[in-house]
Amino acid sequence: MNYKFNFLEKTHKINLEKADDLFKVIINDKQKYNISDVEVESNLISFKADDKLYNIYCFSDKDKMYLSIDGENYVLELEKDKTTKSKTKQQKGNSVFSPMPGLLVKIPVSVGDKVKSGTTLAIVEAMKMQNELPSPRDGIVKKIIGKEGEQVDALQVIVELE
Amino acid sequence: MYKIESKINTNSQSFKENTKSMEEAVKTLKERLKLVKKGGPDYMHEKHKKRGKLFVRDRLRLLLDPDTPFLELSSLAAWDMYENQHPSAAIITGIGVVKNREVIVIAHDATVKGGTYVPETIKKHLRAQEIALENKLPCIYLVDSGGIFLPLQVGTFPDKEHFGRIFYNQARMSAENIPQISVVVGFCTAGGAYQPAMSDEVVMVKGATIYIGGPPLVKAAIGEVVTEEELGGADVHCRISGVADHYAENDEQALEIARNIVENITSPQKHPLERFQPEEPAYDPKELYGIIPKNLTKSFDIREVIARIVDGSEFHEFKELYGQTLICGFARIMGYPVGILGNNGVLFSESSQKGAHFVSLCSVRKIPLLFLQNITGFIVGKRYEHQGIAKDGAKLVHAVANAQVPKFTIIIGGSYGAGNYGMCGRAYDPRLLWMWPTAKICVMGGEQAAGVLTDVKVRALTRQGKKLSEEEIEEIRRPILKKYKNESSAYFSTARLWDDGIIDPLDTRNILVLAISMSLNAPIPDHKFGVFRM
Amino acid sequence: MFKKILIANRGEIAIRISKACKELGISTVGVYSTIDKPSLHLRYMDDIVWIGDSPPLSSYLNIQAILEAAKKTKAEAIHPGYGFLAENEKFAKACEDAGIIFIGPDSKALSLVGDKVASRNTVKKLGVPIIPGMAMITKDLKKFKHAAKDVGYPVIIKASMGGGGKGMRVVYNENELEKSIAAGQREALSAFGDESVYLEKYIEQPRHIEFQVLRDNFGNCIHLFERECSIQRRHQKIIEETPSPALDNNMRMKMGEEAKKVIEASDYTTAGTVEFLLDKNKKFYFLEVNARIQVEHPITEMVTGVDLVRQQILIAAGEKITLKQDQIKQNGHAIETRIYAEDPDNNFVPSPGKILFLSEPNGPGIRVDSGIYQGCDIPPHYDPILSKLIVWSENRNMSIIRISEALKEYIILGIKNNIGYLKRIINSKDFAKGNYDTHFIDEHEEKLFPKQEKLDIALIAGALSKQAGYTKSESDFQKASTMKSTPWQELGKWEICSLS
Repeated sequence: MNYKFNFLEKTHKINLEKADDLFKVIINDKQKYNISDVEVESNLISFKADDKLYNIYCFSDKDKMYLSIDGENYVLELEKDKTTKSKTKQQKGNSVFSPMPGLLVKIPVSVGDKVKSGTTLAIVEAMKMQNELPSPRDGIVKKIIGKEGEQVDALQVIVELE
Repeated sequence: MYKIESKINTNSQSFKENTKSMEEAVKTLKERLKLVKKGGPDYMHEKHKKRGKLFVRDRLRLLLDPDTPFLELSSLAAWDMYENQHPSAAIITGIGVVKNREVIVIAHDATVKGGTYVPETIKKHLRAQEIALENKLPCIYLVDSGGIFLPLQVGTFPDKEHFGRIFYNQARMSAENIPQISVVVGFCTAGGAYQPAMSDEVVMVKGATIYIGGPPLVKAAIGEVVTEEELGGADVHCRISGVADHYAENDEQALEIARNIVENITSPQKHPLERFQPEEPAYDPKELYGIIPKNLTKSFDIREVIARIVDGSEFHEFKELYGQTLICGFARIMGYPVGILGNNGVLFSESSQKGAHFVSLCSVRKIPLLFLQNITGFIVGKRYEHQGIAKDGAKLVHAVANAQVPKFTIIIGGSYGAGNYGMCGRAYDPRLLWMWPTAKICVMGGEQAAGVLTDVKVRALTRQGKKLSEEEIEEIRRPILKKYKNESSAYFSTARLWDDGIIDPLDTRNILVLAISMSLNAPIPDHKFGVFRM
Repeated sequence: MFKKILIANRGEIAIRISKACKELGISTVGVYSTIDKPSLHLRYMDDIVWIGDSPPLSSYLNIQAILEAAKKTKAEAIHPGYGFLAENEKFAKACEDAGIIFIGPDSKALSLVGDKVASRNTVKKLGVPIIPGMAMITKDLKKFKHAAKDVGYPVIIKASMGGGGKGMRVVYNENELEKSIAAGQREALSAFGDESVYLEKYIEQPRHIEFQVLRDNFGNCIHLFERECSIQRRHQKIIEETPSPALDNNMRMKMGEEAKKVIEASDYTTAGTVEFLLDKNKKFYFLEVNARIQVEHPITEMVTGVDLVRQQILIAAGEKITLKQDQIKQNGHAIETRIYAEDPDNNFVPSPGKILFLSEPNGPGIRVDSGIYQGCDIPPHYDPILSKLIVWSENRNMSIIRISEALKEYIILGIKNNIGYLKRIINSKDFAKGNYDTHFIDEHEEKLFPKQEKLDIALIAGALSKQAGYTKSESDFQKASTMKSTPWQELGKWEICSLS
């Protein structure tokens, strides 16, 4: 079993493997410990690490673990793979188009503008709604094809990004 | 799961304006709730108190487990109707816990017109029973009612969904092993007498009465002179007639006995929906106020709403790149899994098919469905009719109608036309349906309706040879617009029981987790669909 | 004797006072601000009264509200504890006017003692050595400049009304003077409601040694020896001990007599503390008088066996001190550490929040004066002191070992606290040698930084705990039951629109 904890903004990797009555632990692929006599209660963890006995108080609050060892407190944060989507998929197309036919009400950007992912590039009114068309990514406006006040068709490109 | 990445700028002008607007709407909601929660006028409270009776809300407090939530339904029923003389339609209904068991409570407020039934009271009573039936929740009736509000007998007495249905429901639910418990704490007259009589177990308080005909009627009918106590007091019914089972000295004791009754009902095995450790959303739910546009014709990304409702703001989106006007995906609400469908624009063929696919997915996996409605309708136009938007829309409607997993609907923005149906409107039996205070519900937008209706009228008049000036046309348009504006408000809807209540957006998570929890009292059947038009 | 006392304070000291009252058969009234409704001190009272919103000015510094609470509950006396209104002359006066006994000196004595400048003048006349400095209160910058030049830089700016380091500023040259005075005034105003400040010569490498004195209304006066309070962070004491390793018996007796002189000259009654600075040549200077029970009073109680709060109450009730000076002995050695909700690794910033887990040490010679419980919230509005750990043992070396072990046993999880930091100080070589002054913390900053020696062990514990949690839920046949409570229990009291 592998665990990743964040401590003071650093990630630490712990590999825990059960071997008979023992756990074999490897920390950050380097330090090795033999763990025995493990007893885990709700707030007290006891074990021997290389035959030295430790009694550790702990409290888990969601992904945070608060621990007290010999008067010193440690706060560990369990790292989960919780990347946001945009991090995994940076680029998402270069053009913005209306998903439906409608009236192009407004283009609030100009050519050369630096835009962020989510910035409104055009507003198309259709089916009683003003649809704000967001930029799919961070970028620079390369070309504006649509004109304000003009009828646009579905999938018609309105703005292109560099 | 991935965390939704919010793109909201909380410092923007529009965010601030939206926030202010929603804050005002919530403030109004709170004021109105405060008003109706007072019940009847002061002198009625005095009278009630003098008779040693507790106010209905105090009764509920004693009935339900201490320090537990009460999920009240349709507090604003009959709002702005009958000159606001029937706050909450004289009846409190809601879901709470008694001895750790989820129950439906239906309690009359005798300080409001003697707890009598106007049409909305009946609707509210029947709706609560419907929730009990769908979710298999024991019903506890706190009876304190003079029966039908006689001036409105037309809308209350004889029809299928009128007064008589209450007792029909009691019988049917009893047969389905859904406990029916009555606590008679006040009057229980005429037809109302059947309410305890139809119950599985009845508690009766000293001083309360149950009779088919009261002393004046008895005297008129058979010439017998009798007091109320002699006719149908607690002693009579607990010792002589057997109409009641448990005798209580006062309201407090009666409610204690009712709790003991629930304690002795065997609990069903709840549907074992896997529940994880709950987690707060990563984004502040308070930001919901700034996300819902002040002007509902403006679009917004429904993911921003989802991000502030679900655990850890984590959302496993389904078919992200396909049919992008309907957002579908899996998330958790305080640990419970849900499948969410939320609108990001009008429904196209692709989005409808995607929705139908997703609904059947959740049905097979037995995952509750959450619909976040902000929908102006299905797409119109030649191109789309040719593409078969009608049959694709039908697929979504068909899937939603037949999905037997618990469904919950929150109308957060607009709810117009057939979009309401596809997104699990009231007619599609969501277990509970709530509205945010600024939401709108109407067959079509006011502007469009006014346009269509004005056009019809102008054409009729033109046929008669009349030519109308711009002002005259505007004269026709204005009242229609006004009427639609009024009738599409959340308050108009909630007064008429088109929903289960208006809520502060911040309550959404709490409501949903309680709703999912209570829905698990009923087993989730295997999925079953009919014929999809392909 | 009093029947009822109102305790105008919060936290551990309110509890400490209430216990003393109970032992004397006196019933107690606690007061609280809005945010303190669930606080521990209220659980020790016979009656409680709400006195205002959470900010101190609305509640614990709200003289009107506290007097009204006393009147309403028919309390005959008010014990102010330390901080807040403890040395507020206006409050003492208001109590006197209302016919309520203020447990402390009368307003006249307080006006003198509280006014640091006036008390310096009094002390100077007695021939007690004082630190050279200004002899009058002024707002005139020129006079400050002049005085600073007279005594020579560095100088220190202090609040006339205050103690505990609030409003203090050390100034090393004239350029900084004006800014420091302004800053001192601001801080003094917010802490004490009076912006007056004065300056004096800044003693380098000083040790802070104070003497506990008791004096009754009949002129009986005794001292209960010294407390050494040189371990300070940001001018606030965090570790105190008695006897001081810096004093020999001669000096001890001499300084004790001087302390009594100061108290007598001020016509000051009940428990008071006379603070001295000791320079590296063992020359002592009178610093100030604290007219209140001190945070660190327990160490004196441990070595002398005298209950100081009890004495305070007895004196206020008009009783005579029956103890004689020659009966007071220093027996063994005591150390106190103050446990704060603060981050020692980040400039000691307060760390309010919820205490998720608490386990306090106990055993022979261990005393914990605590104001917290597991699950309580530490509000951000007040001094972040949580509790005090006090130990007594036969001698200094054994006290050090005992408190070091007790600190290891002291577990507070959920908020940042200074327990580990205190342990590092106690275990340092210089502390063990008794070789320290008030700059100890600044000079040892590097050494006191946590070494995270047990990080591996922490990581192993974390992994083992997660592993246990994982197997537990795995082995459960129904995974749904990993959450044992229902949402109805979790949400507690709630209804639609009850939030925000």
